[in-house]
Amino acid sequence: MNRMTNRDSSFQSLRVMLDARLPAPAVLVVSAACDRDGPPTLACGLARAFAEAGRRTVIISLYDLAGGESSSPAVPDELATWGGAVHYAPRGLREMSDVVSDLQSTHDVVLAVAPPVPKDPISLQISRLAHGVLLAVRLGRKITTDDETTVTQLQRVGATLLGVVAMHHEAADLKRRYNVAVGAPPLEAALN
Amino acid sequence: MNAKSVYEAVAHQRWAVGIVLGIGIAVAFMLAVRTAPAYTASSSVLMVPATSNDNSGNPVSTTRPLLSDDLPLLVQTTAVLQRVSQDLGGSLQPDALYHRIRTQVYQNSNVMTIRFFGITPKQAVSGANAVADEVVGQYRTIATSRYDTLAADIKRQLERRQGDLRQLDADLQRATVTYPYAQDAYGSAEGVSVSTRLGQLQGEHDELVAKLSGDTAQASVTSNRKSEALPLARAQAANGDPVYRNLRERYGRDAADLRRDQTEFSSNYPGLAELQDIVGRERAGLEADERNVAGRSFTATQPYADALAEENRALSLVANDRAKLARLDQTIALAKEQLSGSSSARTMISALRRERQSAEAAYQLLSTRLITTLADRAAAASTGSVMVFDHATYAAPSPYTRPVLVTTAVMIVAAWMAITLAIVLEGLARRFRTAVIIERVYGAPVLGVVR
Repeated sequence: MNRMTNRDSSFQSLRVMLDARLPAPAVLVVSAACDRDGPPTLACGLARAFAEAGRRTVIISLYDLAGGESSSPAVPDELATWGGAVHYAPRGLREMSDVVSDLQSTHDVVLAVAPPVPKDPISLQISRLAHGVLLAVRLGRKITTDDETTVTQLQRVGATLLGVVAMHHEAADLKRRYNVAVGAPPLEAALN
Repeated sequence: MNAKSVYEAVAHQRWAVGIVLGIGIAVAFMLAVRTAPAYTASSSVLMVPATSNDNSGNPVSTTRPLLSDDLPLLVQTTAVLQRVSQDLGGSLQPDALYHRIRTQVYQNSNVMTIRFFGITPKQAVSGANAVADEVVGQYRTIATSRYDTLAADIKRQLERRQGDLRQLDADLQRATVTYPYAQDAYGSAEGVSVSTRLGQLQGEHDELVAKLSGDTAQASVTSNRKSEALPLARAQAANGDPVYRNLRERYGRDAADLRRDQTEFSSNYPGLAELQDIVGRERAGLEADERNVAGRSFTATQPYADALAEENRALSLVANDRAKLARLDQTIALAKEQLSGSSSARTMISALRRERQSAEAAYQLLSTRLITTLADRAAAASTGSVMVFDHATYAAPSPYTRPVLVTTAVMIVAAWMAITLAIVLEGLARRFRTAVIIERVYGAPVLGVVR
């Protein structure tokens, strides 16, 4: 039996609170106001927590859709083997909407990892389709105008801001280490 | 504020911290380059305490003996530093040397250790040895300075005495030239003194007077002889004249007739007066003729000529003697005049000679004193009570030299300033430090904290 870490328990607690607020199936957008705030880490942790709770969970990475920046963090393919959670990266906006609709029929939880809201409008678009938005904030980071902009834009598009998750520095950078370790998985491999 | 918060502040302000540390490193590097002695070499100087039972005969210094505590002060003197700078080729100025030299005198010890900090091992060794040597040299300079002063003073006196002697010699030379006879009054081997010469002249004068007397007497004799020969000469001359001879014969006969008639007859005898008149005229004529004959030809007679020649020779000798005597009188008079005039010159020359002898004696005395002083100085220099005990032969890396300390201090200060700056900047920065701040900014609840 695997020993549960503090981080796992944090995700489990977070999962419990989200279960109480989200319908089933649910589409949850995990984003942030600035880079390196840790949305992939938060999404991965949640996906693992949902999967361990018996939810059929899928992660949609919108980073590639945002322009395929080489520096953008990607979701590790390890999630594909965790409790039925899968990783999927749509190729375009239309495909994204279709994919989200399709996945809602086959999964209990659809986690969409989106780039920082002020930097990419796709985050706002997916936020309109989702049942809620969860923002990751790295503790100790300077407060910038992007934080206020993010809240304002989400309110303007009618997105539901469920809450904010404070990410410690080590947790926020976890995904970067994953990315370095395993690299971005190909789409076909995630679908399979 | 705990260590973690400090770490986070430094991590957040790493650029500011890096800049401050970079400046600190640059400053430390510059200081290290400016004063970068990295090697240390040590030499030792031993001070031998002065002993009171010094029987070497060397002069004992009247100055206060150098103490061990004075040696470090001696090292820091400008004279020593300048000499060390010269020994090192002028690569280090005296003010820079001041900071590179460390001295230490151990308690109850007469050994002073000199440490020299150099950039290279060779410089450190050379510097340590130069300092030790110059300290000893400076001490000996101090120990011998009074002898140097005395020797310099004696040399000045000697030069002055030499000038005086040259002046006296010149004065004597001039006096000798001016009064050539006076110099012999002091037993000079050259020439004849005036007094001696005057004596000789007097002797010559006496001899000449005697000779003149003799010649005069001889001339008188020859003159008498000539006078004696004169009648004979006249007679010969008259006899040689037939007129005179006839006149004399007739005068003889008439005079004989007259004397017979006078004896036989009275004065009234006729013809006696006439005969007397005839005899008188004949005598007058005979005398006149005799004068004529004598004045005319009696000198041609052999006896008279011989007498006359002899008289002439005697007279010439007398005249010669008189001339010599006159010249000798003049010479004697001149010598007497010189003798009377040279007395003052002799006095002056005597004074000059006495003065010269005195000056020469003083010069000799000063020369002796100079030799003694130089000998004393050499003795004082060779028996200096400070000597190099141990020369430096190697240099060791110096871990705690001034540049290292300065660099370390600068880096510590820079680190302190960097941390302080980081803390200050972190305190001024607006950050998501707590969940409350996050909720205030986002207007949404914080659902969880992921560590």
